[in-house]
Amino acid sequence: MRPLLSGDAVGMSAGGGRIEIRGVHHEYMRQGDKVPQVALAAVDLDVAPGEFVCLLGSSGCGKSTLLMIVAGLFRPTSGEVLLDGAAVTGPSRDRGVVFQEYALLPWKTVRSNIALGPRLAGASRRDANRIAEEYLELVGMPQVGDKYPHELSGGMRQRAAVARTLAAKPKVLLMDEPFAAVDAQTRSVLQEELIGIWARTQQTVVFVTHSVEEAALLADRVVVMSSAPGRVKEIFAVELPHDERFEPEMAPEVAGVAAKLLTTVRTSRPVRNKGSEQWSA
Amino acid sequence: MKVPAWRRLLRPGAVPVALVLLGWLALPYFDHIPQYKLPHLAQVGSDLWGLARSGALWAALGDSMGRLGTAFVLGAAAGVLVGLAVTLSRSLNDFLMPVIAFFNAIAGIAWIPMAIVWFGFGSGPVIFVIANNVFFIVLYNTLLGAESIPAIMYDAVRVLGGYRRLTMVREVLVPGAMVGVLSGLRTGLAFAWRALVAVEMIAASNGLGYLSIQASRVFDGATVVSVILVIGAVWVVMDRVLLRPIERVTVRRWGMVGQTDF
Amino acid sequence: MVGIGTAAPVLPGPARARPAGRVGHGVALVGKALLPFVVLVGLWQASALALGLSNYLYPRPALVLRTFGVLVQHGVLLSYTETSMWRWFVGVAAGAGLAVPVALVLTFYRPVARMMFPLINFFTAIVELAWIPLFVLWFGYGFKVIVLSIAYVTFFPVLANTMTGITQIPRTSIHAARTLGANRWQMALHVLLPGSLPGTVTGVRTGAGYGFRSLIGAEMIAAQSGLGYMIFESRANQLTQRTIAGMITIGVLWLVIDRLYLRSIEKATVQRWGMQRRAPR
Repeated sequence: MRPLLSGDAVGMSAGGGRIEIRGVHHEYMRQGDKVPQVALAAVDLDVAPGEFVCLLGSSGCGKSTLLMIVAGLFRPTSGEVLLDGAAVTGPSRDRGVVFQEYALLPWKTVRSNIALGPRLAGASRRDANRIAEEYLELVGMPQVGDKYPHELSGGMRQRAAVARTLAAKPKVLLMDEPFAAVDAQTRSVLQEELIGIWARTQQTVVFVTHSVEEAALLADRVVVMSSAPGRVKEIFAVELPHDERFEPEMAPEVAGVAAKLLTTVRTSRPVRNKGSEQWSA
Repeated sequence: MKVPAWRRLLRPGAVPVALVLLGWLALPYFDHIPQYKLPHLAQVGSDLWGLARSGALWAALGDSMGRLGTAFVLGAAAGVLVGLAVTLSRSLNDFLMPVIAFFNAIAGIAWIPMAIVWFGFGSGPVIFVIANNVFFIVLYNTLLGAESIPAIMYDAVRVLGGYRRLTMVREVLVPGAMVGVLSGLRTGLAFAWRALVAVEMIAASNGLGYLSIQASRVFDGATVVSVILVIGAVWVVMDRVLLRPIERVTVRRWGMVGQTDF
Repeated sequence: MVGIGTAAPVLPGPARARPAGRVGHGVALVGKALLPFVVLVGLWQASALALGLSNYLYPRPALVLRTFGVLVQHGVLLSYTETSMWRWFVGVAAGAGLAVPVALVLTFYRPVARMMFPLINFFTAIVELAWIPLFVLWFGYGFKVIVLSIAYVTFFPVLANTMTGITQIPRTSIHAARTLGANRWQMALHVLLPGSLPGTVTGVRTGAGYGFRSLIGAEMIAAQSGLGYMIFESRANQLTQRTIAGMITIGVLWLVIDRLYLRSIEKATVQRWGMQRRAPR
């Protein structure tokens, strides 16, 4: 059991966070179908501790499904996911998830939402609230603890959701298109903030996106996935230093990476096979 | 919101009310309408005053409210519990829902005759029928509330370490279903109040409904109209004093419902 | 993320909304729906035997079944059902027929509406059945009293829902009609009435339900025929098996009306036009 409160609550994570995805295959039945749909076919992927990996692909490529499998919210049809060598069997506070739709509980104040993780781990109400305050500070909105989620803007809600996930002190951070629902302006601010936080906590991050620019800005490595069924098509290492990518003069280089990613994503579009049923629904 | 009472009387809504009252005041000049059919305003006023002074009104009101309270608490508690249980267990859901749908279709009031057979005239059938009424309304609204919780809320709590079912129930199901439960309670109370008057007319020997139907039998129009006014007024008070404040401090504060009134 | 939503959930979360009945499983579904009733009748019979109560207090299933036969044979059941349904139909039609034009007028003349609301609210608050003693003084027992109380209770939900329906018509439709030169009544005919129809239909369905309950209650108090009269009078004559038979008839009748007619009308209007009432969040 990791300590809930170290001297520096918002600091480096307790280490670890190696993810190994081994031959993950996922099928599901859509309503009315006779034959199962294959969402993921034999996916292998390793993520090193502290690494920031983006899963990139067009919609329907199974990237979110893969993330949910790592989170333990979906169970793969076959194959397994290991976290620091231990098989994933279900959701756990080891693996924090930030959902696209924020998923803040509307009946709790922002503070109570963030305090929920520590509370479920056994912290007292006072300690949990103190932790919540620290994380609110971390995401740059120390004054909104008493508000309810519906009173916040989209960007603030997503900050709160990130704070809630971080406050549970996960070893890895799983983010499912977290910035897809906010406007472009807010998105770029949030992206920079995320990298700032990641630099401090040094957590493993798996980040799902369909935006090549986002992947180029954020990732150590970009995993491009192809659709129907979802596979790993190609893996790129982005060599640019993280702290420079948001500098305006680096924009051309980032754009160059994005362009390269785009070419790969484009050629990984699904081919409509004769007799393929995937697209008829 | 601090408008003095007398100022509020000047609002536009007061105009039709005043017109109705004026029309009613003018009634004595239309002498072809018999008093028992449409009693004069003064008549109703003095009747109401008489009922209040003699204590008959308070006794009837007390009887009615006591039954309402008992039946409402019984029906609502059962409704919420069964609603949550059915939500939590798929097989219970499959088994119970058709039966529930059928019994719900038997209008609560249709139970009056059997309730009289089982409990005799008095409070028994009134409480039985009303609790029955409230139960279904609260149950269905609880189910609706529980169903409207996005699945992602459960996922969000699970990934934060809420592994136990009880945690899920406490953190997500109960507060999430609250929108439904509260609207169920509100509707349930409204229906209970409707049913109460009807059942008392048929199956009781005291209470507001009985007071009214007895008056009708002896052509005492003034008392009938008095009771109608009391019934309307009590509902308005219950709604404002009891239900809306509860809604204000919960689901409305959570941004889960909008303004739904006229 | 197509597909994720329909993937089988891993954990036994709370029961989700049941999938729409599939044609192939119709028989199984009917069986599944009937089973509880078979069990119920079994319990009824068993408890009747175990409790040993008289037929007056607790009529046996077999007796109720035989009573059904008798009531049908003598034509009582059919004629009473007819009587009740006619009263109900006239009442609902009158209430709804009055409510829609009133809703239009109140929408056109907002100041009138603002003036009328307190009065409308007050009359809504008065239970329709509370009027029955007064109606009885006016009209004596029978048709008029019953129809009047059904119309009364139908009027308010239809009014409220029609007005809500009108306010939910997109502003753009109204502006579009205005730029096309529509006058008030053309606006009512081409935009407001059809646009508010989903609201009206919902209101009618609600009102029809209230009216049905009102029918049974009113018939017990103020009628000498009809299903409500039958179940009440049978008790007085110690024929509770008829009361139970009447209750079952009432239940089945309402299920048929609601499921076959009202619900399909609602579906036809609301869904065909793609106008869904917004689900509460």
